[in-house]
Order: sequence, then C-alpha cells, then structure tokens
Amino acid sequence: MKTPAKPHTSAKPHKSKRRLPTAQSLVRIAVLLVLAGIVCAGLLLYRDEAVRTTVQDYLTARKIDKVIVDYTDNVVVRTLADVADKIAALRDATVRLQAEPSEAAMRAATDAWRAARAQWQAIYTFAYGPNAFYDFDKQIASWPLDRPMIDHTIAEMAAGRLQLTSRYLREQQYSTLRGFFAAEYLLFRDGQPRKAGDLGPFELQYLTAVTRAMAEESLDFQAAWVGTDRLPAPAVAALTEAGLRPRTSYAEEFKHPGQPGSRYVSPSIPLQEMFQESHSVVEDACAMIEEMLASDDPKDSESRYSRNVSADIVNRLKGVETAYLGGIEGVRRHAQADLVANKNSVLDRRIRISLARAQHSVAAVGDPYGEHREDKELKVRRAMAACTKLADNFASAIPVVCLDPASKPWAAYGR
Amino acid sequence: MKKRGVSAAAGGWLPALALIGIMGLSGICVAQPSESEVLVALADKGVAPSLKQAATASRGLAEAVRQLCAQKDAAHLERARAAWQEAFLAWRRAEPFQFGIGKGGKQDRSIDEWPVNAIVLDQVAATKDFAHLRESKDIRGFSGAEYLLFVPADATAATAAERCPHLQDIADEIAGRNARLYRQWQEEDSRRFVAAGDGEPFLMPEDAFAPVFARMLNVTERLLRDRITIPSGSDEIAAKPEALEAWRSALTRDAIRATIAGLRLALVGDGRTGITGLVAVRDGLVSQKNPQLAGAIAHQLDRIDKRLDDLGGGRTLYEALTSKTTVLKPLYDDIETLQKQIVEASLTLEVDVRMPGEL
Repeated sequence: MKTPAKPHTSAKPHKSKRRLPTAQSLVRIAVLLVLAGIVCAGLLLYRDEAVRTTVQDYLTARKIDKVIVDYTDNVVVRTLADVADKIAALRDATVRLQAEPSEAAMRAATDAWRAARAQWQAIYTFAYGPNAFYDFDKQIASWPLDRPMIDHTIAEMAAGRLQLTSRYLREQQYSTLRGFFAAEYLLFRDGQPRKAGDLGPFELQYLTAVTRAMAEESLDFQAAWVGTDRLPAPAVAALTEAGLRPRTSYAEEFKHPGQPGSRYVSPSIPLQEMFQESHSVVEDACAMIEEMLASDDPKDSESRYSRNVSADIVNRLKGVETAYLGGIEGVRRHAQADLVANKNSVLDRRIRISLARAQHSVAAVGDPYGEHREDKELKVRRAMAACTKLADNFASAIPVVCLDPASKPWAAYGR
Repeated sequence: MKKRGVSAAAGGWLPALALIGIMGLSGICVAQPSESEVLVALADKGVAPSLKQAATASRGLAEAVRQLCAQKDAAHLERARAAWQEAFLAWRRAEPFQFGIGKGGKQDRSIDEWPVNAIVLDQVAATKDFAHLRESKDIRGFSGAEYLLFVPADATAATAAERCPHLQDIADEIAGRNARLYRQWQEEDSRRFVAAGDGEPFLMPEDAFAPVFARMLNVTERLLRDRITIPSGSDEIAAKPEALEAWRSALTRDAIRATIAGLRLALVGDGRTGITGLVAVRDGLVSQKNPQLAGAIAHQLDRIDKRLDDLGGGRTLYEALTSKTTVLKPLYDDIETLQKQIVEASLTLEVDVRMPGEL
C-alpha cells in the first residue's frame, strides 16, 4: 500500500511573526506605571512626619465631626425623646389614677414616676445649650420643693378659689410647686407608694396638673434641641395647645461647628462641652454619694419621699456611660470613647471599667437612709472611691481629646 | 460466701463512689483563687521573704565592710565584694515588692542611684578636705559602694585614705534602709495588705493590687529607660556603656535577671495563687478572664531569661554594648512586651493604676 505523500513544506522552518504591542496594551502599561508612581510617591511622602501629621489630623477631624453628629442624634435627641415618652407615660398613669384611685393604679403611677426619673438623669450630661438657656432642669426637676405652698394651693382648690391647670402651673407659679419632686410628694411616703385612698380628689387633680405640665415642658425641651418643625405632628399640636412658642434647632448648630449659623467656632467647643459636662456630672454624683454619710435621716435626702437617691446616682452615672459610649446598646455609632481610644486605648478601657464599677458600688449601697446600718459607711466610702477614680479618668481624657490639633481653634470666644 | 451478693453490692456502690470522686476532682480543678488568697500568697511568699533576704544580705555587706576595714587584706576584700554582689542582687530581686503602703520609707534617700560620679568620689575617698561632699547621692548607695570595692586593684588601695569611713557609712545606710523596709512591712504594711477590703486603707481587696501593679510598671519602666535606653543611646543621645548599672562588678546581666526573678515571683508566684492565676480565672464587671494572657506572661518571663543568657555571646554586657550599641535592643523589646502584658493584666483585673508616666 502506497504511503500517502506528505504535504509540501518549504525547506526552511516557518518563523512566527513577532507581534507589536497594540495601542490598548500600551495604554494599560502607561496607566499601571502612573499608578505605581503615585503609590510610591504617596509612600515616600507619608514617611515625612509633616505629611503624616497632616493626614492624621485630617482623619481625626473627620472622626470628630462624626462623633459630634452621632452624639447629638443618638445621645441627646434620643434621650430627650425617651424622656418625653416616659413623662407622658407618667402623666397617663396619674390620669388613670385620678379616674380610678386603686392600689394597682397607684403602683403603676409610682412605677412610672421611677421610670421617668431614671430616664431624666441622663439629661445632665447635656446641661449646656437649651437646658442652660431655658432652665428645663429647674422647670421639670426643681428642688427643694415648696411643700407648704403646694398644700396651700390644694386647699385653695378644695375651697373652690382656684382652678388649677398645667398652664397655670407653668406660667403663674414658681417651679418649686411642680415637677418631679411635687409628683413624688403626692405619690410616695417612706420610700413606698401611698395608699390610693389617702389621696383626696384635689390632690389627684394637682398631681395630674403637675404631670401634664412636665409632659408639656419635656416636649418643649425636645423642641429646643430638635426644632419644633421637626417634631411629629401630635407633639407640635400639643405644644401649640400648651401655648409654647416654636423653637429653632439647637442640634443643627451643635452638629456643624465653624459653619455659618453655628455659635460654635470649631469642633473643639462641642467636644469640650461634651466631655466637661460629663465630668461635672460625675463630680456632682461623687458629692451626692458623700452626702449619704452625713445623715441617716431620710429628710436630709433630695428624694425624701421615694428614697430614690441611690437609683438617681446610678442612673446619672448610666447617663454618663451612655453619652461616652455613643448611645444605648444597639444604636451606637461614633462615640466619645472612640476619640479617647484613638489617643490612648488604655485610658478608654479604664474609663469603661470605672463607669461600670462606680454604678455597681453605688447600687450596692442600697437605701442609705432609715435604720442605721453597720455596713453603710464602708459601702458609701467604696462608692465614693469608685466615683472619684471615674472623675480622675475623665479629667485625664479631656485635654487628650479636646486639645487635639485637629479640632482647632480651641478658644470658645473670639474669631 | 455469697459472691453474687458481694459483687452486686460493689456494683451498686462503685458508680456512686466514682461519681463522688469525679465531683471532688472537678472541685479541685476549678477552685478559683480569691483576691484575698492571692494577696496573702503575695505577702507571705513574695514580699516578706524578698524584703527579709534583702535586709539580711545588706546586713552581711555592712559586716563584711567592717571586717575589710579592720583587716585590710585580700581575703576580706573578696568577701566584701561577694557580700556586695549578694546584697545588690537581693535588692534587685526585692525591687517589685518595695511598694510601701505606710507613710514611712519615702523619706529615705535613694540607695540605687547611678552612675557614680567617679571624679568627686575619688576626691572624697582621698582626703578629708572633701568630707562635706560625702552626702551627695551620686557617690553613695550601691553604685558608690561598688566603685569603692571593685575599682581598687587590692585591699591596700581599697582601704586607703578616707575610703573606709565613706564605705562604711554607705554600707550602714544600705543596711539601715533595707532593715526599715522589712520592719515597716512586718509591723504595718502586711496587716493592711492582707486585710484589704476593711477600709484600712484598702476599701476593696482588689485595691491592694494597685500599688503592686504601680510598682511593677515602675520597675519595668526603669529597666527600659534607665538601664537599657540611656546606656544604649538613641537617635538623640550617644551611647554610654558606662551608664550601665553595676558594670564595674560585671553584674549588670545578673542584676537584670534578679529584677526579672522578682517580677516573676510577683506575677506568677506559685501559679494558682499568683496574680496571673487570678487573671486566668476572674471575670470582672467589664473585663473577662484571660488565661491566654496568664500563659503569655509566664512565657515572656522565660523568654527574657533566655535572652539574658544569650546576650553578648559570652562577654559582659559592658563589653558587648561597647562593641555594638544595638545589642540590648532585643532585650528592650522583650521587656516592653512584658510591660504591656502587665498593663493588660491590670485592666483584666480592673485595677486602677497610673501608667508609668503618671507615677
């Protein structure tokens, strides 16, 4: 069988043709070279300390901006909304108590009082701004109470010589006749709810007027930060009905320091207010703890009828913790803690630990009034020591964060 | 004999006994030390024996110096040198435990300042004309005694002129200081320390750990800054091997090792009732137990010991540092890591202690 002929091939082997780079691949190479050049230049520049400092300052400034915004939204605004809700619940509970004075209704009202009081403590970490301008703390939680004048007012109501409304209380009477401690006086005795049957009709009427006034003022407080036009419609309607004038938003000024319309010339000022106010709250808490040692008589306590002082202090410290961590768990984003940790992670952890220990040791004191307790002094001293350590740690954090060059200028006044 | 009955009875009891045994063993295995237990162990096995040993050794130094100045011969010079080494190492081992709670002690002049001012010391030792300079702290303490004992070539030189009066004065001061430290601990501080939580002065048991941690951080900071960085130099300052502590007696390495041994005793103790034992098992209000950290601390201490063994390739640290100024850098890194671990341990136990820069 004949072998088929091989196909003809040329004598020399065929050389493959060298392909020239296309325009597309040239462009790709050029882009890669430029990118590599930029990266190298960036790395070389970053080695220079001045450049690195500038970059860090920029990043820190951005972080400070976010902390201030999130603090306003997640701490201040949210706290005020919760306060308004709790006080509204207290108002509703006292209305139900007035409608049907039962022991169950009394217990519900006293529980609502304690819950509202607990939430209220958190507002002290932002005692600047609207609270300072409009004295909301004095309106809603004025102390001491003018008990004789309250009794006299109730007597006037019983005699038919006075029709009491919340607006009358707010506009015509001193703040020492209303607020948390007026409600406390009407609801509690010796740390316990009063018997429902012990409250007369005019006491109940006075009580509901007090809690209505508190609800109106808490909405006003909220409006002063958020701006009346940004509240839900029912809240706006309630404020209008209460005769309270519209407010502009303080939060917008606070969140945008250094910008037109803000009284804050730089981010350092809101930072200073945030940290220094928290520090002041802690110092006040330490003083409140120390007062526990001064007497065993409940009459010497701020909340003499409900004997709520330990809870007040714990909740005040909890407010500081909430502010430091950027809100309640689940809604936290950028926080004061981040700024501290950025500079000194050990200090941040120490603050978190001392926040927890201060609350724990105050709670361990329990009710410091009433019968003399052998262990009271040691427990109060432990609470004082824990509180003092917390104050020291906060004081250490203030210059570290507030005097960061990225937040300049530092002076609150003068442009 | 009813074997079946016996075996049935044994079969019934054996599982119960086994269960009881397992429960008992489990109890032993998970028994957690309390803060008070750790404080007692620290006091009894760390503080007291270390301060006692330092007091005893420094008393031995004072006596050896007295004998040297009386006899003025080579044998007594060697004994005095050995006594100095023993006293100095005992002092360094006791360093982490010198956290004195009472008000005493801080008024004492420091006896571990260095380097010595050789020019002034030579003059003070040579003639009475400079006796008024004897109180200067840079010619006293352990470094002053080291210079007077180890620099002279023989006993005649070591006891010439005014050397003996000054050396005896220094040795007596060292002995007195150590004796006071031990006495203060025995008579005042130990009671307060182990009774922490009664408010006199420690309000909580864990508060007593604060001075312990503060002292440990101070000791590590001193190692890093004074004992390593200054002799090694940096970008800003030139290296000064003569700034090494105890280089004249070739004891620098052993002295660092002694300090590390003291830290190990303070941190690890017997394991279970040491500070690291507490770190491994105790949850705080915010911090959680950290057995990994406990292990890491023990491991780091071993690492530092090994580093000290290997440093210098058989030469003294002075010789090694003179030929290469970065020779101590690995040791610096190791001790810095240990310092960070001590800080972390303080956070785990939620002990509020000031940082080295704040002390």
